[in-house]
Amino acid sequence: MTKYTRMNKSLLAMAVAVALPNAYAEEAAKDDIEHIQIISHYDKLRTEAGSATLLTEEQLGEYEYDDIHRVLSSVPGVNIREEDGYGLRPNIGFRGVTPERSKKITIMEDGVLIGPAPYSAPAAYYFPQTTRMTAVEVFKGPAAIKHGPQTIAGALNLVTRSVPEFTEGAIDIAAGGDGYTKAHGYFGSVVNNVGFLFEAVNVQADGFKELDGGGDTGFDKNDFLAKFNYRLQQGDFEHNFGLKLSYADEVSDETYLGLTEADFAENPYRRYAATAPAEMDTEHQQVMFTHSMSSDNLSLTTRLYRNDYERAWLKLNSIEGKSPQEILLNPEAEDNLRLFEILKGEQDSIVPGAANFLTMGTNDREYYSQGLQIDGDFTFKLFDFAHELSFGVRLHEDEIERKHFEESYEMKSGVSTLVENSKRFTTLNTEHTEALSVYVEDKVKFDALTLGVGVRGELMDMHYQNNNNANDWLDKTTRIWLPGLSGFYQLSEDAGLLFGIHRGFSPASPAQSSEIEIEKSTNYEFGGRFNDGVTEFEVVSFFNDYSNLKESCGQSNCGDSTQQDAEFNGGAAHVYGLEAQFSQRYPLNLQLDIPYSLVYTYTKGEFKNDRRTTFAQWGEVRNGDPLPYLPEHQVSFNIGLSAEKWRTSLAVKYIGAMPEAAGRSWTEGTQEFTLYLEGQEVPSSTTVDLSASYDFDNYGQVYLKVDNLLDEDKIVSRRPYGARPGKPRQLTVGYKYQF
Amino acid sequence: MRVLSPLSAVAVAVTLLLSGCGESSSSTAGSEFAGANGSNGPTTPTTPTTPTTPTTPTTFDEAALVSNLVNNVLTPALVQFDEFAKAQKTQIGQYCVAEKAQSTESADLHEKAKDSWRAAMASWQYVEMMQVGPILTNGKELKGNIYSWPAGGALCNIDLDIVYHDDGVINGNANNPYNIKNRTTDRKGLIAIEHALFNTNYDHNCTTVNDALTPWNGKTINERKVARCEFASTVAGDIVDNSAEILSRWQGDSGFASQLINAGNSGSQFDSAHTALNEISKALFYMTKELKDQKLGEPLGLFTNSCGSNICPQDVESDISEHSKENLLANIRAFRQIFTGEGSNADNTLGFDDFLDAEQGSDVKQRMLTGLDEAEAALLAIDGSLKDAVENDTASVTNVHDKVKDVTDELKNDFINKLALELPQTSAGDND
Repeated sequence: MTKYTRMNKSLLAMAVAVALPNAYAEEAAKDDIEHIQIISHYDKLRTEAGSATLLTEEQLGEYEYDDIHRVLSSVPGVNIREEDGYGLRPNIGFRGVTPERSKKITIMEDGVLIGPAPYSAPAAYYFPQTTRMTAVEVFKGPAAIKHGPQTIAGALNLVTRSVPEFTEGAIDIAAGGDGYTKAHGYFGSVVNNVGFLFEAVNVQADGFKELDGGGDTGFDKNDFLAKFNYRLQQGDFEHNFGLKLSYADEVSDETYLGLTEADFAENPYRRYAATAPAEMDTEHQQVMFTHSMSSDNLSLTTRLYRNDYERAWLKLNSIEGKSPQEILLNPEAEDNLRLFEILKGEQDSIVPGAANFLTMGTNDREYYSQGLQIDGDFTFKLFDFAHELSFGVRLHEDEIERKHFEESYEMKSGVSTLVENSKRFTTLNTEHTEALSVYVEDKVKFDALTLGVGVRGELMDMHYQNNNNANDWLDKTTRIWLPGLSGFYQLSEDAGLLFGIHRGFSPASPAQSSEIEIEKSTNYEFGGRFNDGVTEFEVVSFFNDYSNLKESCGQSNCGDSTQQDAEFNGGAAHVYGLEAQFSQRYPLNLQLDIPYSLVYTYTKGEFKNDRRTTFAQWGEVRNGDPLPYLPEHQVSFNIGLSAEKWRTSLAVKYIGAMPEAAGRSWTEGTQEFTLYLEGQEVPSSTTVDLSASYDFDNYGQVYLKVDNLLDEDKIVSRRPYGARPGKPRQLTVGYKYQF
Repeated sequence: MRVLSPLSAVAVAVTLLLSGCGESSSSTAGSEFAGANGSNGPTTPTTPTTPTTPTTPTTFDEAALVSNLVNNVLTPALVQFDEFAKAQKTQIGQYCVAEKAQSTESADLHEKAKDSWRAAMASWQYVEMMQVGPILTNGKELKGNIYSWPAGGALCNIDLDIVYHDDGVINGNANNPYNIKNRTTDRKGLIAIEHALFNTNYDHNCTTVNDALTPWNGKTINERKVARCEFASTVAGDIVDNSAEILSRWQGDSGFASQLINAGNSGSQFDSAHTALNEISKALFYMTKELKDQKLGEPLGLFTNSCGSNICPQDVESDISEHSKENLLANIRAFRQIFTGEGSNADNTLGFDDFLDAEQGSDVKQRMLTGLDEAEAALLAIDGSLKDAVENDTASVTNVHDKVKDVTDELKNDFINKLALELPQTSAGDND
């Protein structure tokens, strides 16, 4: 009897941890000595205002996802546009901001900015390997002001493995459909007060798409991490010195070219012959020194970091000056027919009287991002009220150098080959930012009410230089203060109400003149929480009032290389919605538990003005037009069954239909603008993922998972060019051994 | 009370900050900063185009300049093409009758038909440099119907249409009768007539053959010449219709010409003469991309061409008729007409050259005029066809290219800056 009771208690903890983000997870409680994680594991009823969600190592391990899109599907208020099916270059937005390349959210790894150049070029072409993370944290609302520069939507923090306190290691190997393999291992220990950790991951796949004429459509990613730390106690203070070194590379056969509607209907996984040479090649390195000190009422963490990133993506830009989007939307038009047949490899580039080459562009870019960041927490009493003061200062510098070029490829007998000496440079420029940011937030507890007031300041010196023209440059200084107010009112031990209001902004890139309005919004949230340790329920409503909604063009969202990096004003816009999550466990009997959770997000985004734009997702918008790629309804349901040695989980995710474009085409005088995907929608979709594992005690654990169990094959997006599928059903079997 | 006072202080602070007082932005830019446009970046504005207006208002009479260019340069070019298009239709019709009858006059009439094409083409090359208004609308539909080079011209496609035209139906499908109006631009217009009248290889040019095309190579030369001629005749008729359509949209009280001339007045889509002038100046950029890069640069191997990026004689414009040099000459002379305002009325020669003089740009004007003179001289110095010269006397063609570049360098920089005109979107990412 005693035995059963004890087992059931640990099952309960695990069940809740698995079922629910933010869960109370006794077993997960571990001292975050590296201060890389922001949300505490301990809270029963979390009393901070603002939406903050923590996905723990247990939850991440449950489905063994490598794709951050799938990881975030159980977090409310997240909107995603799928692209390659593997999540190699994620498109994540929170609360209705454009998901494009996750450029409107602040992305961090271990608490420091990890995007290639978060100020100068926020599109996150580098995204950390999700499989090696031990926690994922999502901040929305006023919680975001501690983590700029993007403060409208929120921040995402990915937490890497800490240096263990004792000798610890694990291996995880897996294999699955379409040549998928994963090899992941780590080992760490402590020798004479010096702790270390080494971790390596390789994930690769041949790809699930079928290239005309054959060939791989997959990827090969490597990640290496080394961490060292040294701890010492000095008086009341405990000091921790850390060094983190990481390296990642990726080669993937990815392209922006999708399919026509007809070809997609026939085989969603086809890829045209013109995409055969496409390849993304990236390399990322990070060095970070950390010092943290803490006493009973003060903790201070200093981080010095440097990230270097290089990428070169070779892919189809155009054919005869025509965008592939234009051809795929109207392939039967006789003007397009020959070009379309060249794309498919059914006609040669050179025939008597005509030579139509494929223009392949390589967007070759080099980035760096470095800085010094100090974050502190100080608790004190003043006038009998308990204060918790958080503060931080960051001196950051980042740069992107673009060395884009194009080359001609000749399609001959279905094979696309490079035309020698056809290289010509297109975009050659550098954008650079030096930014000083500060924040301070004081949380004061007045009986049941905890009130937080804070402000974030950003001072940015930006420089743009056209490397082709010495006289084409811009120096710009921007300063902005972003206040926030948040509160939590505790109704009982298990329930409370939260509210918040804060100012959000997204910096404009260094190449945009200071006369162009920056993106700003005032964001409100209000909600409530309940958590009695068994049932957790949270409902948060939000309203983001944009004075000026902005978008910028990348090839991935515009598909028009002549508009690359242009920024567009969308004027006033409103985004509002509701985020609800509920979770519980149902004890079937003393051995078996059924944990389940339901997450629902309602989001409505609309323009609040009339204007004509040349942005490829907007066109002419009118008051009330919806924001593109924002589903109104999203539901995710997780259910599990777990016993001592085994568990199974099923995740069902429904995403409502979303518009591919907001407005309409327009003509004014001789100026015409065609909104290519006007009136089109990404259809609603339901994906089901299944996972199961069995524990062999001292001999490790075997797991099996099926992503996309029902083999959903609807269109996930018609951008960059043409219809694209998500990942088909993929079965993976893996083995984990931990010591 | 103790609670209220810190709370109200907080509320005041937050209200103040939310009201937007905490924001500022300032910048300094390089002399050629164009909003990140300079390096093939976007020229597309975020809101509808609001044309640049000169910072210091000019005293030059821009309306008079627009009026002269419209009345004495642009309109006469369109009218002249219309006349040559009609003449071409007549000549080709006469040749077809003779060819069908296998008359002894057919060879002579064939030459006259070819001459009529040469005249129409040279005349059209003036219009190519003057692409304003109705020629541009709807994705340059009317222009494409008349001349689709360099996008159009795949010989196989034209061969297919010759056969479909001959059969009266598309690929043997009785439900799909041949109608020139529905055919795509790459299969009709002057480029199709050139192949039909000038090409002495009478076999088709397709690698895969459909049912309709199968009998073609087995027909007699005369049958094939007749089929080509009758097709050319239909195409010539279509060109006349399209030319008439351009003229009808150009002329008349509400025509585009009137819109340009009445810029700034009610009823005109142009809010000022400067905006209207900008519309005309954009046409001059044809010299940059089409003339310099496509007509000269590509055959010279400066860009990818059908020979890779080697010298490629067959990529010259109008290579079958060997009319490339004449086309180029017409383009350069059309540019000069717009630039100097020297059109159909010798008494009024108000042109961009005068505007440059008025804006302290006489040096720019002189450099452009010199460039035009030298480009024309270099072109006329080429012996034989351009195609031969590309292969056997490359330096002479390179020389033309360089002289044209002298003009376009001025055009893109000092010309538009002095006159506060806009760089057209299409030339932002050109190949210099």
